[in-house]
Amino acid sequence: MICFNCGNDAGNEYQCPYCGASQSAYRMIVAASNRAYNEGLESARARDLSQAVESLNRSVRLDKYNTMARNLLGLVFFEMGLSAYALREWVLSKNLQPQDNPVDGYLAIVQSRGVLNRLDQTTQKYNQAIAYCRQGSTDLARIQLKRIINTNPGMVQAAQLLALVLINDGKYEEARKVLSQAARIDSHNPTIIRYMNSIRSELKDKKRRRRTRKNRRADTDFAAANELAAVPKTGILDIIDRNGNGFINILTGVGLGVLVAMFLIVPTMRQNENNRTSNALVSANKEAVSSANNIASLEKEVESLTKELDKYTGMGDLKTSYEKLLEADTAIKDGDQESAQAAIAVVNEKLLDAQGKAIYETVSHDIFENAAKQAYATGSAAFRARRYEDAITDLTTVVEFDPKYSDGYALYYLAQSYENTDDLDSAIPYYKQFAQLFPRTSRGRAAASKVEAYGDTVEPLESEADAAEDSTDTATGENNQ
Amino acid sequence: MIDFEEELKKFQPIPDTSEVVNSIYERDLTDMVDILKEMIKEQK
Repeated sequence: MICFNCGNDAGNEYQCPYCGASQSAYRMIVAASNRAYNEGLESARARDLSQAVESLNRSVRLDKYNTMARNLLGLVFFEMGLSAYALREWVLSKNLQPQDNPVDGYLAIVQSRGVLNRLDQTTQKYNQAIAYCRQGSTDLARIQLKRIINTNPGMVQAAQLLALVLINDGKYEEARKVLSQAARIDSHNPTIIRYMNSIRSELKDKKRRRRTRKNRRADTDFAAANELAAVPKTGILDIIDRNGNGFINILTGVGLGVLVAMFLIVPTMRQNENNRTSNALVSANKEAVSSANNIASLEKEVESLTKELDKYTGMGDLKTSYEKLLEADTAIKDGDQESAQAAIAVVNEKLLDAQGKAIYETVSHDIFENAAKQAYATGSAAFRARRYEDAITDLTTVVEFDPKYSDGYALYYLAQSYENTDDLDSAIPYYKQFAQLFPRTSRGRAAASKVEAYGDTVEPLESEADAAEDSTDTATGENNQ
Repeated sequence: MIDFEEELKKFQPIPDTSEVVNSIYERDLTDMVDILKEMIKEQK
């Protein structure tokens, strides 16, 4: 055995042969430390953690190098939720016995995966709960402590404090449950035992008080029951018969019932009926407005569609228009003026594209030119034959196509035809038109004199006025020279 | 009957790990063997 004093090997001697120190005292101390360790181990196995802490503390106080006792002490602290104390013991153990120390495993677990942070948070919450209690905010403390116990059920001190708060609030049953759970961690914890005893005594008192109250109530009920038993049983008819005014009272009651119905129930029913009618009326009005709006919008739609339809009335659709245009073109080339005219009348110019419109213009011009040619031939023949009515019909067609047709002869003959039928009112506008279009011809001057004789005037056309101005300027210039 | 205020005084805040670890070396670790050594030294 190594001498505790000089460090030399003292063998099994009671006294060290090197330094003379008594080995028996040292052996007694080591034995006492080991005994305390064994007690602590037994207590820990029996879940008597408070006792285990006491024994193991004694063990390391006797021999600080009892590493097994110190490691177990740390483990017990850890189990009780006192992680800081556990870490302290394990760090000391590591310092006192750096080699072959099983504490390395515990330290590795605690220092990894943020375990320390979590434990510190729990500690802070517990300290906060104590502060809440001291401030009188026991509600907050209770909430905080419940959270701690949920996340760290082994924290006996938190359970004790929670139980204390609950006892103070008179919630003995709840406090007992909390303490029972804590007792599974530390079965012989003196504080838990004390609180449990207090709760038991409080609950017993409560039970006794309740029983007393119940007994008193039972006595009162019994007395009341006796009194009731003394009252003879009587029916409604007996009561009516006993009281002379009974029948009158019933009649009064019925009358009151009728009045209540008249003044309370009937107006309410009427009000409900009125409300229903009003709602129905409002709903009907809404529907009527909605229908009117619908009608207005439909009318607008019909109107726009009618306008659209007007464009196409009497006209062919796109396909028909092109077909008829082609037909008119072919007919005019074949000299069939009648078929060409019938076909071009069906063509809807608005539906044609630019090329179609160009063809339409050419074909229609040819058709009307041919028609005018034919009308002029028959009209002039009728004029010469003094059939002025026929002449007016044909020559009107020609003038509508081109007022200058055949150097204005169609227009002049038309005016003369009207004059010869004594319709000067119709003749004068055509004379006027002729005088404007051909002012420098002898016929033009004759037409102008007829217009003036009729009391009207011939305003020169803009192009003719410009031409006259130019000729005047030229004449003036020539005169000056 | 438990006196809440009196009981509350028994609950003291727990130091966190950093505080405990910092105070480890200030702790008195004297054990019975140290006392024995001291006694032998005094006898000599």
